[in-house]
Amino acid sequence: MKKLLFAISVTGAAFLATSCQRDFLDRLPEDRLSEETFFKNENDLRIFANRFYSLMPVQGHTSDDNSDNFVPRNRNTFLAGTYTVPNTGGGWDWTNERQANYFLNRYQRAEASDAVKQRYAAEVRLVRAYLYWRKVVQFGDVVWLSKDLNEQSPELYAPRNPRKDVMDSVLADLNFAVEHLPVPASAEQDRFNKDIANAMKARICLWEGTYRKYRGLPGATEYLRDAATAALDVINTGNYAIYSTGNPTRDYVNLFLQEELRGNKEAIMARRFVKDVSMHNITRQISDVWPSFSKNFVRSILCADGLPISLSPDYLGDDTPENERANRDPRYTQLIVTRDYVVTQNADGSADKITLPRIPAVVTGYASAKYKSPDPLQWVANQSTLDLFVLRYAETLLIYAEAKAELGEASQGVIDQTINQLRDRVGMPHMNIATLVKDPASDFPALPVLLDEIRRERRIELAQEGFRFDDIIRWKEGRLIANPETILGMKLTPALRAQYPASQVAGIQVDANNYIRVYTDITARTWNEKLYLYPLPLQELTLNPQLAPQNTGW
Amino acid sequence: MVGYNEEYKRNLAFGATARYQLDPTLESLTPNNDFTATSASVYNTINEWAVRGGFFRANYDFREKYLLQLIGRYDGTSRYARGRREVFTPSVSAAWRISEESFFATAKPFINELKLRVSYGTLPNQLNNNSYPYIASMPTGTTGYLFGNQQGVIVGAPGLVSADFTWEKVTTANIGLDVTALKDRLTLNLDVYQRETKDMIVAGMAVPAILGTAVPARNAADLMNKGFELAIGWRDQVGKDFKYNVTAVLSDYQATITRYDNNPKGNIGDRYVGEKLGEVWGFVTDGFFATDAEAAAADQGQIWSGKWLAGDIRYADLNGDKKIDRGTSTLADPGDQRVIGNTTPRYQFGLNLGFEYKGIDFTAFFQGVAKRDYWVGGNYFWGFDSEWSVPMVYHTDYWTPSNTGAYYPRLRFGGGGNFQTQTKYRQNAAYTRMKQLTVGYTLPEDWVRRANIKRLRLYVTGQNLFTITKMHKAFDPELLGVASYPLSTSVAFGLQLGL
Repeated sequence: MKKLLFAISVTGAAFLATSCQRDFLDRLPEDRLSEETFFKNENDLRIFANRFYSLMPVQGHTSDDNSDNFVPRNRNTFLAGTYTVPNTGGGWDWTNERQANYFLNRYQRAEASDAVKQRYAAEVRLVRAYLYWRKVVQFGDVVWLSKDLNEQSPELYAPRNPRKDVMDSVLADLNFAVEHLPVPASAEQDRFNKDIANAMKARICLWEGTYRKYRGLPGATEYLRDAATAALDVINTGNYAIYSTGNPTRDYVNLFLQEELRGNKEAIMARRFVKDVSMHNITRQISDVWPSFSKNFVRSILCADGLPISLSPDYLGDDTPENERANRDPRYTQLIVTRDYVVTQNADGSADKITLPRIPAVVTGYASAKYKSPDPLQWVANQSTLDLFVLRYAETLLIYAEAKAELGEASQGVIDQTINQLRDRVGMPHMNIATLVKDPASDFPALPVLLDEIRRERRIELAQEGFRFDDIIRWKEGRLIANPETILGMKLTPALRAQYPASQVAGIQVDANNYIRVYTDITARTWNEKLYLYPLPLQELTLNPQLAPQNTGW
Repeated sequence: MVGYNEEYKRNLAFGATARYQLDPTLESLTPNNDFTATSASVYNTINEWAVRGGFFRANYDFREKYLLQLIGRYDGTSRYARGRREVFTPSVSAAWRISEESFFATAKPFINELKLRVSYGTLPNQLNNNSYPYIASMPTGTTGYLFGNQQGVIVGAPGLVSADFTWEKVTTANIGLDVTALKDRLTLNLDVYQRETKDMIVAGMAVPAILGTAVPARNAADLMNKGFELAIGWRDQVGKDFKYNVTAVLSDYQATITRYDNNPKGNIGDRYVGEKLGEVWGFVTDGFFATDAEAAAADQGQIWSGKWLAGDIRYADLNGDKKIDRGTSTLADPGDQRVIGNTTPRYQFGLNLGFEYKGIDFTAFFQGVAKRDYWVGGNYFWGFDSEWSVPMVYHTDYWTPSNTGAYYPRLRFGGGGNFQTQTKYRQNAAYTRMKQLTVGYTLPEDWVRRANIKRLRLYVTGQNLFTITKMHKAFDPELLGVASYPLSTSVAFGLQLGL
């Protein structure tokens, strides 16, 4: 027993000794950054802000798949009505918003001038505006946060903010960005500038303005005016122009096959790619997938005389692909792969050229030519170096035209400044408000002719750039999806079919008018009003009952 | 005995990469022509941790009959914040050698040794995969967005940490019995234990996703593990020449979650209180649809929104709501899912047999698991999963209108809704395997002595000779995983020579 007592007392002494030299157990990281020492100077602000640049959206080859422009081989599950409410995820991810708020609650600590600090805050607020806008587009009402939370924050259990309030906060971020970002001439290359902020503001405000207008919500006019003003501010800088080399039959398609968009006058902002430094896979995917336009899209392309096919005497009908493309807007053959289009131009001079449309690999027969490079080197997996647009001046012009038209202020001067710039590139006759005739086959029969034609121009010019579903939502025109023509392909007459090897086209079904049916189990999609919004994930509604109710219809 | 220990580890590492060496035969990174920042790189690592503690052990032995041991440890670690760093963990164990008691004298001829052991104690456990789990650091990297012609450097917000977490504590209670009887021929060892892991460090309480980052880890879970281990051996001799022995071992355990703060809603995809580790949730298979009409009439659209056809799986409507779904995937509303099995190996056993007779020696070893379920899934199991799959011959037994009794459902890339975890394709991974069998013969010494050889043994030994199992033939019940290196059956003949 004596022994035991001794043992305990010695051990006790050892503990005392331990507690005297506590620093032995204090070990702090030496090879990483931590909050205590970060945000100390301009460089810290810059490298944190860098992370947001890759969130800026670029064109994607499938980005119009969920619309009436394209017919994907497998039905888009959302439009098919088979999207099910997810348990988690489903877009309800707030990682980037947290990153932005983390920065915005700490950047003031840096030892730098107010102007410098505000410039980086403006960069991050521009991105935050974009992120929250996308959340509103997808979910409607969402929780607006202006700070980063921890796991005990009561805000985690807050109800959703009305979408109009969230959009007002988005607008405040955009205005801050416009105010505090430098003009391009004094901005650092490849960083956000005032024009980028204005172009993004124009995009978001047009969305919100028309969204409100077509739902009778207050504030539509203010947002439309903001959109027009922001777009006009970009136009008035004189920094931008529609890209043209004077070749109306190639300039449009070539614009999307540029190795270098820096310095391109049409690029307000581009995502650049450089060999072995940063490359993408989009060009290869386009070559693999052959994204296919719908009959409805192709029909909406004007004739070269500026008239819709329903009115133009020059339209030759669609019995053959050659007739259908004849006398059309020169963008027709720059958007759609038709006879003599060069699919592959090999280094040895040989080339793969289109004769007949490559059905059924191209499900509708109307393969998209946009972003489709003939250079096989660009098809190597993850090795494409073609630059991609983030913000293209053509969109800004279209925003200006549409916003002015929605406001009832679109003069011929506005159209000349916008739509007719785009038409000049491709050698189309100018749009002349005085002589516009309403298309009797318009998808928007009740819409004033000017707006109708501006929407058409937007649809063609910005095809496959990811705008179409957003447009359908903001115009409250979901019914367009239910148009049977949006899932049909080209006309495959018995005579045309006979030109193919029988086995190649044996499985292709056509409707009563010989148009290819891509989905043989349906004749038309149905539009459900609930598709104007996505559902919130189930688990989120359980964790925070204040988020209820679930979005209508889900 | 008293002790003190102190440990300090500091990791320092650095590396450099450069390409385009002018002379690749030089063991040097320079000279090179690698001037781009993306391919040449340097990195370094500096991290350290320290532990320190004191301990004592006291033994008490009374006439070799009563044995008592007390152990106490006091540990500190650099991995937890000040104030949460130290932990004291005592343990006690006692043994009573009943066979040494005077009252046991009459039984002594039959039972040579009888010992009862009891122990109860706690040991601390710390996170080992991170030197600074309580300190938030800011992740760094590069972005594909180019500034100039270079990828931009990026920094991000640190994840959340809660500074209040501390040691996990593992408390074990054990009762054991050691018996040697019948003149050392019979041995028996039995241990029954209960091990409770308290304050396991797991993700804290689930919170809404607008948090925007992972929930910080906390001491938020307890795990109870109960089991036993039994070994019985018999060794004897018949006559002068025949010696034999048999050893059998049997063990079992099952672990149950007794606290899990992270899942108050009882999501079944996560851990929950009452969960027995290894549980498999799934649907109950109710055969194939016989006709397209039958398939169209069933409401399984929540599982898969495509068009169900003849030869697809019909799932049982367990909750009787006329549709097949997952409900909210919580314990309260699992839809038509239930626990369809448990992957914990139950009643693992081994059997050693051996005898020697006039130079012949024989040993055999069997091992197995008496009860175990397993879910395989994936393209190795389903075969026709995508255009990239490589089906095996087993996968050709799929449903067609003329093969309605097939094992697999109708073919669909991606499986449609057929690849759900479900009873029909749950595997019974119980097995018995002949792991090793050896027969040898040692030639009599008289024979070999003339050749100046001391010992000559010929033998044949086989490994993994046969397996009794009901598992799918493409998989092995011992290895379980897919694409693991297979166990081979091998037979070897040998000769041992002693000079």
